[in-house]
Amino acid sequence: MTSASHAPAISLHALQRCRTTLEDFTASYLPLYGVLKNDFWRYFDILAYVSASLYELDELNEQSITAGRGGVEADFASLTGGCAPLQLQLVVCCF
Amino acid sequence: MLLLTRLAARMDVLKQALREQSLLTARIEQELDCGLRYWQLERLLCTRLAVNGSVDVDDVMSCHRDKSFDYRTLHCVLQALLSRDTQHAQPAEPAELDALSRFLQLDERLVDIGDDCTDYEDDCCANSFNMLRCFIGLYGVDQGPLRLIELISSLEAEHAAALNALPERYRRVFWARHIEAASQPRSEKWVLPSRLFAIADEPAFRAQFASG
Repeated sequence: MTSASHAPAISLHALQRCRTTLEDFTASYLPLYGVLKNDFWRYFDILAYVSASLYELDELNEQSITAGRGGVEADFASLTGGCAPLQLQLVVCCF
Repeated sequence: MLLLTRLAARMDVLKQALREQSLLTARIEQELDCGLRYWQLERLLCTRLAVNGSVDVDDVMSCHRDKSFDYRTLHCVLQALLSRDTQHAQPAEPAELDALSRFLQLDERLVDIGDDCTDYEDDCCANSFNMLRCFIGLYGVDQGPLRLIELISSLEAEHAAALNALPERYRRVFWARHIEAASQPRSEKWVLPSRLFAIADEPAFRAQFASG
């Protein structure tokens, strides 16, 4: 299968992280549209896929901040229009 | 591959999957683009705060406004799901939904700031985006918390006005949820660390506590 709908995209960890978000989202937002709690399962697959995918991306971003690898320095340089000081790279790598 | 490119590529997979399900709307694409911008600003701000570097107030406010893009995306996806569900009554008029979205965005911003106040020390240790952390970085340990209180007051006034402008059925649902959520300990109060607990030197604080 080559479609995005069949592409592996989320981990168990991302699913676990999205659980509390979905709990809060369904408790807060579904009643605004008169959707009953049990009807959540009609939309579960798409909502869980979207939320977990975003956590997967968030994880990728956080890893880059804590590890100081990847695009942190390059992105910093592109945003500031110059080079990230060496000190930044060293300190970020410490976390 | 640059991180930004990797994030954008993964985001494209999500967009394409929603497109294949006939659920991708222009609004959802906008919110997902907000997400990419949020991550970029989060990286920039956290990288600077980690070394007591200066941050820009416009970047901080943009990052804060973009942060709840995940809830806004889920909300838009829910609307798209409901609009194609023949077993469900169709959503309200666009003007009503816009007013609801504006209110919810203010509500999400206040919830985020509340979480940031509670998680302040943890976020300093983890080098995570946090509004109190950013305001202390912007205005110092004395003025930072006070400036954040000013922002909270301003947002609460906007929040009250936006809530009053909503149809009664939405207000009823909001208050029911608010009462339910308020049963959690300390959820009704703003808790900011006192001057004594505001962190003036983050690298020194992390050196002492981050590994513990």
